[in-house]
Amino acid sequence: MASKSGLTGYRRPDGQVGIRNHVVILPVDDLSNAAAEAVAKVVPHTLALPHAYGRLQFGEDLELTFQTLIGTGKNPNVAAVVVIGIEPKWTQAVVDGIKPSGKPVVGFSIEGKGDLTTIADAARAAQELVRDASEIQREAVEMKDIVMGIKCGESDTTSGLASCPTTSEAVDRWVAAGGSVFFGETSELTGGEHLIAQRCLTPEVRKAFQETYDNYIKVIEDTGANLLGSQPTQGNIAGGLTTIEEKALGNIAKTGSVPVIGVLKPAQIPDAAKRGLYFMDTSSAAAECITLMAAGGIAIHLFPTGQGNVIGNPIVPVIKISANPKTCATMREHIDVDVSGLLTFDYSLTVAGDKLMAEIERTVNGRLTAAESLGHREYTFTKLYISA
Amino acid sequence: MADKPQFLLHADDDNVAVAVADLTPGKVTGACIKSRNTYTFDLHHEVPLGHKFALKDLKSGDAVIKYGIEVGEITADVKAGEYVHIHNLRSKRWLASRA
Repeated sequence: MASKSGLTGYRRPDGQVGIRNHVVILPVDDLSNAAAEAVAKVVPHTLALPHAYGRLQFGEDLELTFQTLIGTGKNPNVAAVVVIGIEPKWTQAVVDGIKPSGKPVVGFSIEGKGDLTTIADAARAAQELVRDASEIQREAVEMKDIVMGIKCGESDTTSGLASCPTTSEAVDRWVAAGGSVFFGETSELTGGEHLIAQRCLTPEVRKAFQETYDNYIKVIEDTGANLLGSQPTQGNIAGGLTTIEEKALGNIAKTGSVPVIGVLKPAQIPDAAKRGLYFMDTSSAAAECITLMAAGGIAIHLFPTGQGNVIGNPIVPVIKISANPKTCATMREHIDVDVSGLLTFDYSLTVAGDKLMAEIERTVNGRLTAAESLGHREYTFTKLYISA
Repeated sequence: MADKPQFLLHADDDNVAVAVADLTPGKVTGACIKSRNTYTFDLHHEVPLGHKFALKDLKSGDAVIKYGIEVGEITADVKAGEYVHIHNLRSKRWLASRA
């Protein structure tokens, strides 16, 4: 069954390849979380994705919430989706958005029925979907079939020295094999944004990157708020980082050396035929960033950390890489790959890259990440402005 | 270098280095992670793992160079071997946050 690459995955009707096989119970809005979670209790092997928003949003902010919900449903790690919303119209909009993926998706709305009838109806549908999904077999796949995300968190100076360069090794190998990788964290490029701009493949991509970056910085600086102590975070500072520029250069150290071939809006799904390194406009907050990338279609995520971020994602395995020997010792249950030996010259960056690639292969093939095994399922929406 | 490095530089022209162990004042030996050139300095302060010290005397307003790139400016004079952190280094960005 294994391919030459040794990788296996689930090929979806639209050709995308997943490495997990979740049947998701997706609430459209906060009001529907209770029903969605109840269905997941009644029908084992389904996964409810409660979240905080979906009501009285409008304009671009509403569009992003829809895109996040729809992208989550379309994510290749998801086999089938039960959508539950308070009212039928927006519920149907989410169902219709997921449908082009070709995977089974059904919607239920609560108004006029109440939670209990909705739960019963949705649970019956979910049961069938779980049984069907249980028959989907893993097949041989290649690196190029699997979209990868990268983002670091609770970074410290060991991130820039070792865990990010190790991630960079994997990024270069993934793209060299024909695969796609997303990086984001718009504000966290500050001080090194010129390095990313220089790597944009075409003047069009460079222009799109620069506009996206400038706009994000304008929005956060126009608040007039003091960003010191928030970016870098208190954890970053405790770990020895001082300025946004220093943090950014460590962040950028994980993006490989390949060109940036495109700029994605938050949660945007790129053209599957155009593969390479993409920049996605995202918050630098871990859960928001990975939720947006998951909606954009990543199946696996690499997460270098210094001080020990514990982030996971409900549908995308998140592999933690750390080079901080204290973190690797005190937070061992959160770290998948320890590369602290890079700081002591125990092995080369190539060897660290090999170590990470081996962990990626095992994770693709089904080994649970530290975050999966601890039940980390952070599913956090990015809100662009206040609701009406 | 016979022993494990006690600190690392990202580039040979950096003017700060990162402690990769909890360091106490005295002679310390380290290297550049890229070139593997080795360096020895007299450390004057305790510097915890992950934190930085100056490799040369730096005056207020001087650029701090790490990765061979400017990462901020010195806000209070620092001598070689002294601890560099947010008390004597600040960003040249987020200028609206210069409170």
